[in-house]
Amino acid sequence: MRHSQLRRYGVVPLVLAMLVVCVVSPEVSRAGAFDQALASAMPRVVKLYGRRVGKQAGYGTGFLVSNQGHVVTVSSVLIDARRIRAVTADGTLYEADVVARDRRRQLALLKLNPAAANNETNESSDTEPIEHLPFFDLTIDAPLEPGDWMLAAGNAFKVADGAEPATVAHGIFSARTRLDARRRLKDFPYQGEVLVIDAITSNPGAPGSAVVNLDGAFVGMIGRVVVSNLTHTHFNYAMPREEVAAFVDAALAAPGGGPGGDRYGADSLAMDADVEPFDTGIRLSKIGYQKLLPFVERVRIASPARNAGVRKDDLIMAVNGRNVGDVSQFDNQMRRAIPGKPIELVIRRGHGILTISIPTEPL
Amino acid sequence: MNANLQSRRIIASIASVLCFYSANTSAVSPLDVVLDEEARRVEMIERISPSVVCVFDARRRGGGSGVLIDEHGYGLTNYHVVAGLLATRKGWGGLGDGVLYELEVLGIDVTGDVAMFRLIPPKKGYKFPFSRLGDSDSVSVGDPAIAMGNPFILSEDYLPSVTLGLITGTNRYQWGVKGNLAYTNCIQVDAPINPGNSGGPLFNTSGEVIGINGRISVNTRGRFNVGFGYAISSNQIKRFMPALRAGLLGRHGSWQATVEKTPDGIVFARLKEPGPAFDAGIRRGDRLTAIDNVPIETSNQVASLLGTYPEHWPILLDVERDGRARRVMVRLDPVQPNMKRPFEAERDANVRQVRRVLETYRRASRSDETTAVPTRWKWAVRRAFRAASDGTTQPAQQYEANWIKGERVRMRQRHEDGTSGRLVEYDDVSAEQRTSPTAEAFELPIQDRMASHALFRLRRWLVGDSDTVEVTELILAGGDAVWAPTMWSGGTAIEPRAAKDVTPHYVEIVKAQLGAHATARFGFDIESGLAVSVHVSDDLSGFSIDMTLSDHRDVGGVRWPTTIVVRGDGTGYRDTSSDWELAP
Repeated sequence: MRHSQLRRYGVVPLVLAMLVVCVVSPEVSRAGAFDQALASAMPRVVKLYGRRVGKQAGYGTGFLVSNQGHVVTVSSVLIDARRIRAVTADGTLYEADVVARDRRRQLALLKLNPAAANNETNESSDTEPIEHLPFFDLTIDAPLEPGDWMLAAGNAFKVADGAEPATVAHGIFSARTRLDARRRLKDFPYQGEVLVIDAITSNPGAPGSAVVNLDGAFVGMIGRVVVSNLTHTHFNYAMPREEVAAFVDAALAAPGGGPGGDRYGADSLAMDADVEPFDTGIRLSKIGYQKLLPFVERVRIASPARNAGVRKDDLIMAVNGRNVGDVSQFDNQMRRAIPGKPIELVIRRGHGILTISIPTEPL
Repeated sequence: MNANLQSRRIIASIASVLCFYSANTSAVSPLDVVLDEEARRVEMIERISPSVVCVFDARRRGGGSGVLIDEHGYGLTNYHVVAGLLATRKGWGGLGDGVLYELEVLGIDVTGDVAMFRLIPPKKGYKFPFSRLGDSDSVSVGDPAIAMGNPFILSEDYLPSVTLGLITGTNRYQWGVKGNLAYTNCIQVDAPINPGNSGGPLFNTSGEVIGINGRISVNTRGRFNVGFGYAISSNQIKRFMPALRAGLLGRHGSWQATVEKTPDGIVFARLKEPGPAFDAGIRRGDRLTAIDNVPIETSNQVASLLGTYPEHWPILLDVERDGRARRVMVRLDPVQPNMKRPFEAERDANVRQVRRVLETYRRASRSDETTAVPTRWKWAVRRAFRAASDGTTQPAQQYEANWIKGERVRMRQRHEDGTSGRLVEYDDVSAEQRTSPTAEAFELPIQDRMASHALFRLRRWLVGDSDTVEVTELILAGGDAVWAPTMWSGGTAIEPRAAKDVTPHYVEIVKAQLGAHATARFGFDIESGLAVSVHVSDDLSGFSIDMTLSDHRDVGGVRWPTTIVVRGDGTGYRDTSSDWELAP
């Protein structure tokens, strides 16, 4: 105990503080370390149910960000549903409308519709149940250092129903990094910073989960599932608070769409055009009716494709084991090509089928 | 400077005093708290890990995990871990001491994915390390939990792998496969659980087993942990343990009804007639507000809770009709699990359990081992009758009872003025009522004779010579819950619906033949070992009675129930005994 401390804070408060610490410590040590984080996150998380397409689960997670019933979640096919259902922590069922979408950050803002709440008799229109729901204040910049515990609360695997508490994942905040560090390896347009978490958070229904620190302050949101094309591993990350806040601010300032928002954008999951297809020197024919078949029009001299033996008038049938039926599918596969790994083409030349492997330079 | 020094001294002395008082937490420095906690955890893991079992099949190939729950080598695992061993019931269990023990599969619960096994002791009297089952209802989200087992069959020396995580959900419901392997009201945990962990224990921070890990959620990536593990709760397993230990097929129970969610709450939709719920007077549209005192909010919760009860188990339901609340007790119908070939109960395992239960009963009932086994008992009985349906009550009666081992029991009625009344006498061996030439003898109702006969049997097991205990004729029939001691209070009968905040006693049932045509199910309290309930049914007359035995008092070196409540068709009374005299 240093003199300066004693002088600065005075003796009595310090003694009192120690007294408090010593007296309450049995309770403190009995209470769980995550109690505060749980108490903050659980009531603010919303279970979402919507459209189900293919492997995309028909359920997801969002969290409340205003006293008006605004809910942030990820932009996905889930919210393309004609009717999005949202269940708050108290078990109340609402319908939700899409207010805005952010194509770059892959975020969406929903608004709960109080009139459609299932437990309301709809007789008293003055009741505004939404205003009583707790929400995260996105303006608070909560401290978070690598090595800090964090907790993600959401509806992963749809383990909870109705008023049953959502699930949580706990882990350690590992780093702040840019997603574009591994460009071309993932089909994700957002290139800003993300929070890397050491827990497995990339699960069905988990995107949109609220991430809080041990004090229960909002620090981020579990983002869309991102899978490496190189290793097929999932990336466990959260969109940082400031990105979520920026989106919500912009969306609320300009109703109908935030920056880059496209309110009705069904193509929000499409590959972002700013990732260029890998250029091996192949130029495809741009002539066709309805569908542009991937016929090779020319192959640049001294290009990897030319050296590997690709010729004019070859019809490209598959890239890296994926059938390509038209030019755009070919481009998509070439976007997914991984630098340093050879691109395997299946080509129809005359009546023959042949396989050609084009080496690529590492990034 | 001087003032500072003084204050420093004050602080130092206060701090040392305070820290003396909170020595167990030594809470001054948060770092110390963390280090203490970590040291405690390491110590605890060392203490509990010897009880964790690596389960292998007969050819010693990959299997799963398990945990020993008593010193005799009885352990729990998942049904799906031992399903492949059922043909021979034989396998191997490796413990942290590096030894591979022979493993014998006992009872199984296919619906709930639980199985019991026994490691064969290498020599008589060998004591295995074990862990205790904890109270899984006391678990809350955010609590730390430790999973142990043999994931990916990593362990060469049978020392278990340890993973630490948080409880991330309670009361979860995970659907089964064709009615089997449903995880109802289970614990969700994010401690990594992987293939091979199945059947292994989930511990709380006190080192108690709060669940058996057996299931994970996976997605397209493959069969390994993504942060979602599920453990069957220890409180569910406790209900099935008597059957599992005795080598029986542990069947689950059903109330034969469905519920649906309405704006009014959870209401009954369809009921099978006759069926347990219907027979208890529940009808379509009745609102369900609680099961065993747990308030009901969702239909998911109903399915989840009901999945945790064995067949014939009594559950208390709070229901409402037209705003009137009532409480009923429902005994659940058995549900046959989906099995390719029928499960054959293990007779040897059963006999072992009958021996253990009766031995525990004898030991628990002999408060003083040094006194000789009594051969003569005298006592007085006051019999209070339950009010009949028309509200009338018979006046209470007094008896004097006298038992001589191997000969007879004689019960003589005493009037209030001290004069003797009617007399009844039974043979102590056959329990037959003796026909007496005296005019004062009387014929007792059959329910009374059934009750007496059951008590004879209990007395014989207690004070009889051990070779007269006919264990091979007895069957351990599973477990049950007994609420009954609270149904009578201060001499007044209280219906179970009025008993609030009651926790039942869990008992093990020993089934015995009474005479030529009656069967009795004796319930022995799992915790105390004492006899607390008897159900007797007489095939010839069709009568059946339920007896509850409570207020066990020490009477001359023997612990015997001094309050015996008998309820049955057309009868209901409570015997309170006093003035005990025992002679060797």
